[in-house]
Amino acid sequence: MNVYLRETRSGLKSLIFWSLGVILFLAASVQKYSALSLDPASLDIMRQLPKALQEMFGVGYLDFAKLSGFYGMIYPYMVLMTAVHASMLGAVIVSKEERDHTSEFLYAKPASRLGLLGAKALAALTAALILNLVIGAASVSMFGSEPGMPGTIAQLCAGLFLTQLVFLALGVAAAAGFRQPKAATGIATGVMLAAYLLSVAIDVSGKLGALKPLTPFEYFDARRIIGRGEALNPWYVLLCLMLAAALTFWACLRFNRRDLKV
Amino acid sequence: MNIYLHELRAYWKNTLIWTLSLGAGTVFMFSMFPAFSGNAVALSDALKNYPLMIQLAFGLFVDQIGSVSGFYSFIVTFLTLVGSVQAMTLGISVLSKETTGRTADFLLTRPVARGRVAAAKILAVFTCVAVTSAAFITLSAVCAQAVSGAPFNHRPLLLMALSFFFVQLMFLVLGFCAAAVIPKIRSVLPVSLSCVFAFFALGILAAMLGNEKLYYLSPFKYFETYRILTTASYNPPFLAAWGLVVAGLTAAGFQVFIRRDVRA
Amino acid sequence: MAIVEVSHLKKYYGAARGIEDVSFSVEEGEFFGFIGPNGAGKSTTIRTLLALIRPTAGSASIFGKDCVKSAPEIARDVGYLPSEVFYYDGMRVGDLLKYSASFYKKDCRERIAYLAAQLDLDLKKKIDDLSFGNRKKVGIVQALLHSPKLIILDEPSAGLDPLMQQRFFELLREENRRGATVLFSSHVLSEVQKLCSRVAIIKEGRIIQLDAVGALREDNYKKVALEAKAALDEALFKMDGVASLSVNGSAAGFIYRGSVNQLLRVLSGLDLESVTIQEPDLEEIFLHYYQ
Repeated sequence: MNVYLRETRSGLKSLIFWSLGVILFLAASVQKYSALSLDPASLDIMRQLPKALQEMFGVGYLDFAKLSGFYGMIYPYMVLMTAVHASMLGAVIVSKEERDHTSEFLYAKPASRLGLLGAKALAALTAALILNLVIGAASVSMFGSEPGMPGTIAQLCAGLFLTQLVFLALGVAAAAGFRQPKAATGIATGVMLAAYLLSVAIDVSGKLGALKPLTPFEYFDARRIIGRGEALNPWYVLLCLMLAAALTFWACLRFNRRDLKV
Repeated sequence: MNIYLHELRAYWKNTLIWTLSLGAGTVFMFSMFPAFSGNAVALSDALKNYPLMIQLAFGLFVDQIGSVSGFYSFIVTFLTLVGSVQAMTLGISVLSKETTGRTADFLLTRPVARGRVAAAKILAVFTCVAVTSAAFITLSAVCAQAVSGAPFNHRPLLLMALSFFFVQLMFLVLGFCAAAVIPKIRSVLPVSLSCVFAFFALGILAAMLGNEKLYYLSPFKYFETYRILTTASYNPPFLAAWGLVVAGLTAAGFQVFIRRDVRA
Repeated sequence: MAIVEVSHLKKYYGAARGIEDVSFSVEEGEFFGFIGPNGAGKSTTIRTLLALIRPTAGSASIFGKDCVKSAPEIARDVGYLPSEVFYYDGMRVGDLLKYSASFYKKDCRERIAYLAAQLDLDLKKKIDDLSFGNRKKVGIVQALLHSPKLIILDEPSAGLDPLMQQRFFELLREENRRGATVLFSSHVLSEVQKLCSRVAIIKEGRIIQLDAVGALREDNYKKVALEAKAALDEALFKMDGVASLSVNGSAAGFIYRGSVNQLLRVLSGLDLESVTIQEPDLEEIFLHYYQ
């Protein structure tokens, strides 16, 4: 579809930028690992950290002497980066028509509002998927030397994609659902930062486990997945899909009914 | 001055929301301290050999782990991230909105020299940032006092809180200069977010590679928490560099804004 | 005294031509028109006068001061209405006008009230909710509220309904009578014809014609239309100065440039029912230049 192609093409520069960014970050992490691994004493110390810190860095489950353990430590940063990318992408791709005063052009064309919204959401999804694949490929090439690691990385990337889905839906909903699309990026950022803050608090205090379902940053625990060979928690997988679906559904409903800002 | 007041009026709600959110975040983080410190106290001995490199990378330091200051050094980094996004967004939008909103034809044909227009605008957003920082610093001091069981040295904490303001200023003028050079920045928040996170990642990178020269590349490394914790002072070369960067970016932004064409 | 002096002004946007070589001057109290095809350089010239863009070469001055160097000083006595009017989000009309007035060291409240009343503009409305034409009205008030000595207008009547257009021109005439100089660019040639004393025609970045409106009309063709009692023969009109001849049975029309006496001699030799001799519309004259 023409809208899909156009949105994909215009988002290409940003996508390349982000892809290079994550690759750089992963490369730097590998660098750090090689530096760390030369100093086994430091790794011992890690195991004697206070429990709260252990929780934070997953020392209890991860062996930092191994590449895989290190990956588990930087995985949360990947989640944060892709969350920022996905929520902003979703919010901007929908709100930009109303922001740039091009809504009179696009939405008067012989295409249904939902069709157009769908095309845009699909373009955003494609971009998120590509970023995910880039992360996966880079991770495997840099961190995947151990046996079974590529498979684990694939699992983590799947979890990553689910989180991306939720934030993408969040961004789209923020832009499609409200009558002031200009506020979309702000709302999406606010919710995302709040979720992140909550996840940090949960990690630091080690006591707020009950609140985990409230923040997608806590759904897929890299420490358990890598350190204990656990699989993705099926409940959280379901939660992600449901959240994404609910947000999208609400977005569609509202977008069809509300006045478009010229 | 009328432009200054006009801009303040335009941004007061936004500033209020940011300040309240930041405040809520700060209080929330501080409330985690009791749980955190309870665990930390027991292990201070074993941590004495904690390699410096790792400490710098994660902002956690052996001798300070149990104290409020040490805890603060960890959370201030995150909160500074949030403050930086606010600052950069303000810096960009105060200039870019005239272009994207097409109001440049109105404002720049008033009998005011462009330099004064720029000055009024940057002063207005500076005020917003100053207000937020002041609130943040005050709240930090109050919360720290409230949650800390033991008496502690206030100086490192206050210096860290103050560094929040300094980093905000860096991003404020960075945004201002960017908008002067690239007038048509339409997605202000995504641009700020990406920029701030990029610099943050750059800072982590620099720490991991252990190269102090690279620290100059990231505003988040100018006011290194470890150094403040241990020496209760800022690092003079970085402080000087900070001054240069802020002055330089501001001057550059002004010059470009004064000279550039205003297209219809 | 020349209020506006433009001398060999040139502006290139990179490699793209804005204006090539523009020179003209506007005297105090004049009503000066500025017309030309799309992309000719009208807006570029105006924006250079207002120091919104910097010229590549040449000079422009207003009130005897250089446009770029003394821009803020000049702006105190200049009112500008851009072709596309946009204002800040969330402001009411009254607030914006007050904000605009605050830049001039005078009390403009009465003027604002008067102008708003003349144009049927509700000061309490939010600008975001206004139609294009109503936003234009806000722009007009904003341009006139400080009683400027020079009023620069870019396509001013586009968007206004006919009644408002009349009121607007009346306001301009009032200002002009007060001693203000008006410079306006327009595509609506009948307007230019009605209001302006002198007109400059710009095409592809150069001024190709600059004259008093009356002279432009006189120095031009006359339109002749006649109806005879019997069928006409083309050969009757074979004289110097006749162009675009069309003969249709007993009706004929042509354009004539030359001695009026000769024309009358030829016409008096015919047996006519009716004859009309007009000066052509400025539109017809200008269209010739537009091509």
